[in-house]
Amino acid sequence: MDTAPRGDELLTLLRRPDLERAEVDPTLAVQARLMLEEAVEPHLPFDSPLRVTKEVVRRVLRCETHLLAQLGSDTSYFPSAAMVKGAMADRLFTQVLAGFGIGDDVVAAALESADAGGDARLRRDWDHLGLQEQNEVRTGLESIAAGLLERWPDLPSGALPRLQEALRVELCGGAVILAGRVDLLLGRPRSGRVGTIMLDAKTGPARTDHCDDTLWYCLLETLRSGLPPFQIGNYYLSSGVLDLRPVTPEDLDRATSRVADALARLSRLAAGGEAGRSPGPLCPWCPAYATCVDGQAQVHGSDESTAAWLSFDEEWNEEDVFDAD
Amino acid sequence: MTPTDDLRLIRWEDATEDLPDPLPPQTIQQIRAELRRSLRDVLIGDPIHGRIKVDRYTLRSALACPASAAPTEFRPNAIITSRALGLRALELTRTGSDPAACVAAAIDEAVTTQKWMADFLDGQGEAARATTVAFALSWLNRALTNVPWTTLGRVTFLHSATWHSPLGYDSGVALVGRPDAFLTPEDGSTRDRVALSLGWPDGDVAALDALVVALDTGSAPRRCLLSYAPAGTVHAVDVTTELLAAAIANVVTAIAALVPSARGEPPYAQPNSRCWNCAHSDGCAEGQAWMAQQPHRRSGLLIPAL
Repeated sequence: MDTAPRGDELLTLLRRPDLERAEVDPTLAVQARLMLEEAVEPHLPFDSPLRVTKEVVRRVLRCETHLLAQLGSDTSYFPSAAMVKGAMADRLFTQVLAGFGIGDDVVAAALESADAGGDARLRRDWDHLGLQEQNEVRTGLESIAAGLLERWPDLPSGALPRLQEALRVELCGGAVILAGRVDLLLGRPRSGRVGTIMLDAKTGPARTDHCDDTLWYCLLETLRSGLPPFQIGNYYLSSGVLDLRPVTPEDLDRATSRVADALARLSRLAAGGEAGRSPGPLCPWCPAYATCVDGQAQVHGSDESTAAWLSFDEEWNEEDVFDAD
Repeated sequence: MTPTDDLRLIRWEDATEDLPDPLPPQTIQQIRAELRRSLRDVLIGDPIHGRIKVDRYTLRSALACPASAAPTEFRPNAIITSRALGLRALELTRTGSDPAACVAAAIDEAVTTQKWMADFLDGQGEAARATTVAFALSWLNRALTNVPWTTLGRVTFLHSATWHSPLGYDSGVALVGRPDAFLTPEDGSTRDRVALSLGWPDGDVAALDALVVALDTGSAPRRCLLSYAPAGTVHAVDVTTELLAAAIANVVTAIAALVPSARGEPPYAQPNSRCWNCAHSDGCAEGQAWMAQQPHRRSGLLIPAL
């Protein structure tokens, strides 16, 4: 039985009229910025501005050597079928949020949307998939499209929807740039009270990383607007599950601490520091694995196989592990 | 000091406060004469073919590298149309209409008033139209949430760019400025105008806008404001004689960079960090050679070879 929220229920969960929009101490954003800049300042100046995204934060906290190896890996690769499906699903989500239907051919709709949006890459990536992969993607998208059309109502005008909202925060006079793009932003703060809802769309199953992603957007929004969002979360396009919750002061603290840790590591690297190594079960998928003694030693010496570790948590595959999402 | 050095981060409360004195008409005349003199020096020699247009895009390119300013095919898409449609829709919302309805009305208007827009919108499929609407609506909603419109006095939206031919129309040289709106105090006049642009805070572009408006209307805005939604910031640069002089210097530099192409000569390349994003980099030997010599960086970090 499909219990995913839809229609008015979905709107109610987005708006949460039962919850008070808290009045927030404006110094919270100032304190967060200070904490982040304190993590960077000991290592200034840099030769080149640091550009930090959620993926960079995730990877540097996983392993500094892994981050550099991933950044240096071949950028001419073609995305996986899962990534193409995700990009196409985002296009379909945009269409529905704009109040339009999708039509019978979901792939054609997604590609037409990408062409209109000036994104020539999606059509190239789709053409590069094999026939079986294309069929799998099409089947997945048809299910997603049906769910979106059934569940999402027209958004009220007062919601002020912003799609693919770019977020950019400069720290330390531009030495560090925090950047992100959230799929959907609704509402706005008023008179010192929170009011913004941030929602990211996901095509795969829920992962622990997704919580970190929402906290990343929460932090960026707090820094750029001076107030944290009212709610943050993810919408799972395949299942229709809405994982949305009000932001607490602890969320902001956690987000700030995590990013400050990442910035301290990144700043040390930017200043010429040697990259550390933090071996773990995911080492075999790292581009540096072939030359990483620590990684190989960890895998060979571990009592627990990587496959066993992965299967214990949830069903992951390589694309999910290192998906740029 | 360059216009970019003069750009300062401000609060919206201060957007129209403590404005510099308006530039008198005589100063505008002097600026006009100085520009003409400088351009005539640059254009001495063989005649140019076609037109040299300095707008915000060619200005940025030409100042960085003349070869990067070579024309590229104009291909409208939903991102490009979002500003024009969003701006018109923004104006329509001031009548109290719903944002989505204002976007729809802006699209209906654009089809009949702007050929390039009509060509893009005409015959769009549902998915393409949805994308166009989504981008325009997002642009509009960003403008509504980021700018405190009700506190900024009288707002006059500018849907067309301002063109000015400093040496006359037949000269083939045109400057293009494109602020999005003028803000005027309720009891103020044209001389009290502040120009507002919604986009990347670029002091050189703001200076160009101020210069073109001054030359075209005889009256310079007193300040240029730049509201950048992704960062939630608003920057300001006051329009002074020095700013306009710097704008002239930029324009002259840009035109000097564009003149060889306008005379049928190959443009010269001046490789720099702009090469990474240049539309012409694939066919530019100098740019390719420069990029090959650069340390491998991503996200600002030096990437060691594996």
